[in-house]
Amino acid sequence: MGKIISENNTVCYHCGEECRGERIHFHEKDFCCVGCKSVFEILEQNELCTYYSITRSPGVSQQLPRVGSYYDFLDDASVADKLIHFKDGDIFHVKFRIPGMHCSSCIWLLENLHKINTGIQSSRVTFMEKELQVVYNSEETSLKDIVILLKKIGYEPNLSLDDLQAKQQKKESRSQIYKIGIAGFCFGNIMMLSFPDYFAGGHFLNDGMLNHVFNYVSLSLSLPVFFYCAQEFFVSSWQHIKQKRINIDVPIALAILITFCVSIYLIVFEHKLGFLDSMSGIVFFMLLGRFFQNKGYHYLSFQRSYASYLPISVNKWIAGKEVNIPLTAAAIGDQIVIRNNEVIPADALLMNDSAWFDYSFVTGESNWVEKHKNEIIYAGAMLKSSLVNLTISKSPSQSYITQLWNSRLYNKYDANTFFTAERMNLWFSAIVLFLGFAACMYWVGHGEYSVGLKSLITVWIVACPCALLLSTTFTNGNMLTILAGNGMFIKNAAVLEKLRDADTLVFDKTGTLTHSHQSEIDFIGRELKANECEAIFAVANVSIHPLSRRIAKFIDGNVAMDVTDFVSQDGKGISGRANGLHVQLGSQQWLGITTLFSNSFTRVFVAIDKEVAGYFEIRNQYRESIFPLLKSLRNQYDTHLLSGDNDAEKLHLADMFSSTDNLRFHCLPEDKTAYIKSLQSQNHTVVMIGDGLNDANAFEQSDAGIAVIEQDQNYLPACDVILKANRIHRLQKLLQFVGSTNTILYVAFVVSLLYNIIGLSFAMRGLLTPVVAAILMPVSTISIVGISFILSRYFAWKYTLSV
Amino acid sequence: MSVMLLLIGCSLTVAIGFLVAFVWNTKQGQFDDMHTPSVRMLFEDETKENDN
Repeated sequence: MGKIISENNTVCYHCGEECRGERIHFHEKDFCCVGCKSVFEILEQNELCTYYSITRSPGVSQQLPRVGSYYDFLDDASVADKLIHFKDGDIFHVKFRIPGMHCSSCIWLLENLHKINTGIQSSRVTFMEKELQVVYNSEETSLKDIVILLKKIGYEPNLSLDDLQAKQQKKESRSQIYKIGIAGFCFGNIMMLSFPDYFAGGHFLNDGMLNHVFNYVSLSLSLPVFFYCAQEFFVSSWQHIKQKRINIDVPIALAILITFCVSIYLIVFEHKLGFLDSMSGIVFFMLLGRFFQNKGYHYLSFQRSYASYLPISVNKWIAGKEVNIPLTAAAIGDQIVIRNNEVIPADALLMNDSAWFDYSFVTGESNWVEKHKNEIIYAGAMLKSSLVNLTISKSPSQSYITQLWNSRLYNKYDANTFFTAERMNLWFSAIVLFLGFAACMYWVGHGEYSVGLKSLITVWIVACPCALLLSTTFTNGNMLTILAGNGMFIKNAAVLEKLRDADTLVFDKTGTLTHSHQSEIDFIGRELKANECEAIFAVANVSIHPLSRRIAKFIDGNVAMDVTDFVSQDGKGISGRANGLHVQLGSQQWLGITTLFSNSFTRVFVAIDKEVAGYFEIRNQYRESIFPLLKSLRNQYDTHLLSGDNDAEKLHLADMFSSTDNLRFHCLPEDKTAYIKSLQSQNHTVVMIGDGLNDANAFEQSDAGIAVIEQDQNYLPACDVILKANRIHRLQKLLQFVGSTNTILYVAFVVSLLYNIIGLSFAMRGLLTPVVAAILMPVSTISIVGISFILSRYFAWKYTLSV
Repeated sequence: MSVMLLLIGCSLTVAIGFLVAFVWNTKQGQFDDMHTPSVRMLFEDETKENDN
């Protein structure tokens, strides 16, 4: 037995995936599925085959079961209005989020949509945000047509209820750019104006007038830096001081303020050059560091609500006709139609006799569940049978899934959380303040009052904690960039700290350790002949039972064969006659087999002409090299497993985790949260690694939640870290890499300390001049940025991550 | 030495000109998307190709 057709090394021309099973040969090209071929056909008809020459096999695989989509609701003006963000007569502008966009070919094709649909005037991609903006003429085409076209070429836009609630926030990142630009401009010009003075030792060419002009121009250039660019430091530190708290911005704001005031005094009363170049330099570099650290991954949304998981529209029966309405218009008592692989949008009663549902996303159960007439189907379940009718029993906003969501806990990282670097920083600032006073006292003690005052002020200026802060922001920025390049996307820098401190890892099973779409299936028993295989396939193919469907998919035979005498016995098995053979598929008891088997796997036994031939073993398919990963993580962390599934694989998994007691099965979402809470109460820092909605609350409770996502999944529960499923086997290396951040910070700290010692030694003797400050500041900044850059790449190389 | 004042005036005018250009460009959205334009400029012009 084995795969009926298996041609290795044939790669789909469209999506680049290996053609398994059936292979479609069309126009001298191979395709893995009908979906891929039809995309090719559309592109070929429209002379858009350049698509294939930019990147090799750029397409999105069309193999996975796609949910049938109905877009009639887009004709509804009220829905369309929410999506269309600009109208000018007949010309409409609309924005879509397209998760499938991933390479230059995608950009090319999406920007050439007007060649397929002439009603489209132009289309523009914003790649980093995975956004497509389409300008179209509403006379010639409609929103619905465009969405359908996008779906046809394999770029289905992600339309969710979330999108219907308009949101736009581009302003914030732009103001950050303004600030950096202006600070950089002022810094450069002030520096230039100060240059002659550096060399002339404070009295530029003895020309008083010229000196004045230079100083006052510098002063006016520093005003926008002080009042506009540095604003955020003042605002945030003022907010903290008002609440009688202190944060990292306080010493920085203090340093900026002191430098500015001292400089004004020096310029106005002593006609000397101030420290304005250092001040604007500090502001500039610090803004740059923050920008680098916070440059987000806009297309990855870490905070999604349940609404983005539920379908955006639903088909409702109105007067015997199926009408597509937006989900927001659905009400209790509505009769709705759901097709195979569609998600149930609201808690509803089943109207058909029976149907199968996949609850894995909501509860973590890996096996499909059979439901009967009048039973409640919870929202979020996926239908695994053919068409069913349901009656909505609760409005979508009150469904079970929504409640899971609304029981959210607390805001995990409030603005007052202190992190190692920040604590170090505050200590450092305190010491500097103390040193300043000490130096001042010393000079005052010797009767040198003006030197004392000068040393007090210059100590504060030179030892501004900026170098350390810069090392933190740049190191975090480097870390986030490198991790993103390795398929791990981190919400913000605060999460890095939590990951670093973690000592306990909690795993979910279904979808995290196992593949969410695949299960492994094997036939064990005697050799089956080709005609027997076909007969088994034919019989299995008739039944809608999920196990039969998997067996049928596994054998993948000829659909045309007739089956006679088909009998399906609930909970026992099926039988039928095909290809002249009598086939029985079913449970051990039903076929009267007495051999004992461990109950760790699901088995379907096969009898041909009443004679047992063997059985199909259906296992959860674990992700590649997940076991070596678990075994080596066990040495470093306390590892736990929380599964919503049954304990069939307990024995199998027991020796992969720290202890057998660490394995919990049949967990409800609440149980997971409680378990993590109890770990935390024992002072553990817990990282939760999961995938589905059933882990959403656990993510929230844990110190850092890592969501494992498949390539094509466009829905995510709220989490702190997004990890690509094909990178999960690298988890340990990634965590080790995150752990190396401390080393980098310590090295940077030591270096910045060296500079500070040099600076302080000048300042405490009352010798710090603007020249010394102007040299020390950029040199220390550049060396710290360099150290953080080089070391982060060194560690990436050490832990074999790609840079 | 007063020629220096003129020079400073000139250099600042030019520099402020660039600053204004920068602010204006940012407002136009030039820094909203840092990736796509770099790819877009490499695409060949389809129509020309067909004419040849």
